[in-house]
Amino acid sequence: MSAGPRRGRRAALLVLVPACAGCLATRDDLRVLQADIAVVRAEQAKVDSARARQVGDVLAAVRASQDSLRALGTRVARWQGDQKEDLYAIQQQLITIQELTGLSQRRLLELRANLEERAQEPGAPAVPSPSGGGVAPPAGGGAAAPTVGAIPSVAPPGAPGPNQLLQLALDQLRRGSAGSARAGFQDLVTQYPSSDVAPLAQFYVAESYAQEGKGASADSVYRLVVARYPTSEKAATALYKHGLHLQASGRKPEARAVFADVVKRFPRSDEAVLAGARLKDAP
Amino acid sequence: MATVALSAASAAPAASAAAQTPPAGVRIGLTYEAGVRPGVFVLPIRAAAGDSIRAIVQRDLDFGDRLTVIGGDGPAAAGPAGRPAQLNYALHAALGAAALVELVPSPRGWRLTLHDVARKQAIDTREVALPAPAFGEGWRQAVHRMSDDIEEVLTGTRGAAATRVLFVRGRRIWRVDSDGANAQPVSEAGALSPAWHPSGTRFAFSQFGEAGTRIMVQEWGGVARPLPGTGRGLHITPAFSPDGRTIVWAAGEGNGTDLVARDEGESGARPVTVGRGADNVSPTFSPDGRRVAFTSGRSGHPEVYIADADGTNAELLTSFSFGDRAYRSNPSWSPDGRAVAYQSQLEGRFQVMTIALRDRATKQLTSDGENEDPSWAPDGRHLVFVSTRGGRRDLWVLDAESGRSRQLTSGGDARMPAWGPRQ
Repeated sequence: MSAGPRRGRRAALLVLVPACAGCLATRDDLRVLQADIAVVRAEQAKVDSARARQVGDVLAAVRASQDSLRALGTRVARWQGDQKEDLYAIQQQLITIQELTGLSQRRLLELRANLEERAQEPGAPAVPSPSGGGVAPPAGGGAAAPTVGAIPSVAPPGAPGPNQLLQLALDQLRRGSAGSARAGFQDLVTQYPSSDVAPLAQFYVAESYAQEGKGASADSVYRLVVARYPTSEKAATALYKHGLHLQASGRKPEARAVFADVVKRFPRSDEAVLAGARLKDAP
Repeated sequence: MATVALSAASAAPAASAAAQTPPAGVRIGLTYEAGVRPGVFVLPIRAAAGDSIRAIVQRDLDFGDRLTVIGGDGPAAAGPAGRPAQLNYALHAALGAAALVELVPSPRGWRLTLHDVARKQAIDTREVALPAPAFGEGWRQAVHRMSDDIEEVLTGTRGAAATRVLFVRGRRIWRVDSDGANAQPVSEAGALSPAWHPSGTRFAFSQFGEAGTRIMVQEWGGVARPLPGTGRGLHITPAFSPDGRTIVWAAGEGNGTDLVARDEGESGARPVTVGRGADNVSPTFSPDGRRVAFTSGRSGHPEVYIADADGTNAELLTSFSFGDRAYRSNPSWSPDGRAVAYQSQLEGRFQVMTIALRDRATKQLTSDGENEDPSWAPDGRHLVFVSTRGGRRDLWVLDAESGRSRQLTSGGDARMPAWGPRQ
């Protein structure tokens, strides 16, 4: 081989090696590179695991909060249930008390009637009427409002007292003698207009008409009860009955107005519930 | 009160009759002695199915508790045409009969003649048709109606033989004749609380379904149809008003149940009671339809209340004392409007009682076994109720005046009877 070509190849190699130095890495370079990559990966994993821990912590905290909230919700629901139960029990007790009060009132009326009856027996001392029955009606035809606890007065000897009259008339009404009962109730209202049972008697005058099927007469007396005794225990019933009469007569707008009046004036009464249902049924 | 067209005095001792010499002249009037059951003799019937007709009439008159039925064939001798040749009034009077019932075949069916033994003459004659086939349901009802006719003529008060009773057995509604015959189921399963329509042509009941209980109305021979608006929640214990145009029942979805009413032609139901969480069930109308009696727990435990049918004037009817644990329920308003029957706990057992509307006086009608769920017959004298006195829960009928009782059903498991109107 000649020296000329050998020199040419060596020169070419010398030229190529520096030219390729940037492209061809050595094994060391690769190792360094791999180490660098491993470091980066390790750091990344470290960061990821920290983040995962954080996420886990957050999730655990959320779960704990949820548990707390759930427990709190359960406690609140239980408390609400207890309260509701207590309220229901209280409501039932109130209703029971109301019923017993009503029963006691009826028995009291009977007792008063018995007392008045005994007072009229010969030789018995005069018993003051606890219901404040006056002997003489006031001027103006007995349109006075009821006065609970009014000045006690004495029924004239031999004459039945207001409670006695009420009981007698109620007995007649229960027996079906509406006319006789009405006469008794009217006597009571006339003779004892300031008695606390006068509103009741006036109401039962209307009931006696209703028992006879005289709707218009009954309605006029129901209106009288509302007008004369607007705070009496039967005022709500009388007003509601007036509304029913209007409804049955085909005067529906007027009936609606009366039912609305019942709801407005006597919101806690049973009649308010009944009237409310009538308003819903016939919008 | 209507009177008896009989002279029961004919059987009175002669000495007594002599002591009370009637004044001279003509006296027009009828004699009735309260508590006295005049004797009646049903003459043997010489015709096809005659023995059965006679047996049914005798039994009906006996069950009516207003007449004493004299048994046996009596002294009558049959004539050639099946009719007694000559009625021996004196001999029947000696047997204690104040009236004779005579039935003979006629071209239009049967001729029913009632005789006054004391006056020795017929007092009523009428033609009666009995639908074919003999012994069928319609035929039996026609014989029962004839018995009621007889009782009406003789006592002035129509009997309740031609009536039926609905009751619950095995979660189905059953129907039985007033004499205990023809007991048969008339509804599908899951039915409770039967109630008659006053026309007797249909009945209502509550039926259990997947969404709750609903009110069904069923015509005889037809299918049961749900009452609109009773698809969800609890709907039980229906009752028709006496004019049949309103149905009232107990409805509830949450706390408590309230009575609601639905008028014919109306789409919705309106409240009748305002229970405010209490249970209000088992309504029963007064005969004039103006009032309703029902069971309510508003006083702490069940008691019987009455209220106007529009919901007003609610008041406690039965006696109640604070601390009293016994309760009263299931009212039934008597057809004469004077009393309400109900069940009351006495020493832990239910007994049937009545309370007078006039003075609130109570009367205990039963004491043997457990007795509950009373329902009045249309004659206003008899009650049907559930009793365990025979060892099982069966229906019994009680005469509220005499206290006499008889068993209506057998087989046990009978509940919730409802005595229907006259057919």
